[in-house]
Formats: sequence, C-alpha cells, structure tokens
Amino acid sequence: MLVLSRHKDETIVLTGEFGKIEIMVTDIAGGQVRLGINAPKEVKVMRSELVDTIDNNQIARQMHGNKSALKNLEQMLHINQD
Amino acid sequence: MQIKTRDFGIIEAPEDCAYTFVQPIFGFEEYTRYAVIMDREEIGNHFAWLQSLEEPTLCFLMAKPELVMEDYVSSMGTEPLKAIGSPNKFDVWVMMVLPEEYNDATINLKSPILLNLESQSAAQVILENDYPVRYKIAKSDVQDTIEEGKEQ
Repeated sequence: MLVLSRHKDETIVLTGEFGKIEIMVTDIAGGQVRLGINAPKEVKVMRSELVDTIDNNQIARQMHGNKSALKNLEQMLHINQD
Repeated sequence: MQIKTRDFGIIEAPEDCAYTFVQPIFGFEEYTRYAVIMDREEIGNHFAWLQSLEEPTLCFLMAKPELVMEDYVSSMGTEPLKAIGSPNKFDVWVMMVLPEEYNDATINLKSPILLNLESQSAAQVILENDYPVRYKIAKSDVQDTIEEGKEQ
C-alpha cells in the first residue's frame, strides 16, 4: 500500500481514465480525519463499511433459513428460551 | 394479512409484522415493504425472516445481537434510533449469513436493522462502533474480540 503524509488542508490527486479525483484533509481531531472529496459524478464514493454491508446483504439474501440449522445453532449457543 | 414467502409458501401473519423501511436495506433501495416473520414455537425468539412484501423471492435471515453481545443495544447509543424517529418501543436485529455448515454463520454487527414498534417504520443503519460486518457467532466471546480490536 502506498502511504503518504498530509497536513490539514493538503490534498492528494488521483488521475486516470475516470478523470481527476481530489481528496483533501479538511480536519484532524481526536484520532479522526475528515476528508473532502471532489470526483466526477460517475465515480461513487462510499465508506468501506457501506460497501462491505452491501456485499454482505447480497450474500445474506441467497441463504435460505433452514429451520433445523437454526435449531441446532440455538442449541449450540446454549440459549435460554425466554 | 396473507404473505407470499420465499421459504414457506403463502402464510397468514398479523398486520403488525409489516414494516416500511424509511432508510432501505443497503443495496436493495428499490424495496421498502417487509414483514418480520418468526417461529417462536420451533426456533425461539432469536431468529427471524425479513420477507419482502414486494418481491417474494427477496428474503433475509436475521438474528438477535444479544446472542453474542448482551449490551449491544445500550452500547450503540440513541443516535442511530433517530433514523426511525427515536421511538420508545423499538426492536434491533442483525443480518445473518447462514451457510450449509451452520457453524460458519456470521452476523453483521456493524449495520443493524432497527424496527419502530410504534409507527412500523424501519431502517438499516451503520453504527459508529468498531464492530465487524462478518462476526462468526459460533465462536469465543464477541466482547473480547471487539475490545482487542479497539486497542490497536
């Protein structure tokens, strides 16, 4: 992975067939960095946890909830039926 | 009400099992009406089906986060509940992936499904908490795993 150091208000630029994407560090506070992103509107910008959740939802819909598997799972977890 | 389901044919279910997603399930933005179907007698209160009322082949399996983390709901705080209008009565589920080998079942602790039990609205939200999208439920204590992750 390419690792770059940037101060507040500094940017990095990605270029390619999609055009130009500019990412600016707009704020740094308490272990959190705020980023401003300028990108062509065809480029989708998402947090990685959202991409992960979409992928996971796609897989989840393919799973048929087999009742005996659920029963086994519940027994295995030693759950008290409340 | 009658519901056409993916896994159980046509079933009769109470009206109050139907919900409208005001913030849809990520990746399935075109569908907003779902029923939460449970089978308390056979499999208890910890699992449910989220069946689309608009597309019978669209169905998800959900689990209760308390299965792996007792204080999940209190630790997520009240902020996420704003998505469903901050009701007094609400329910929290997480999406489950249940492969053939049920030992490998995972739940998405990062992005719970919130149900407003007063207005019947619902939403999938992404928490600020540092929780995994794929947490294997048939394993050690989730609390340990999450706290270890935070220290890094």
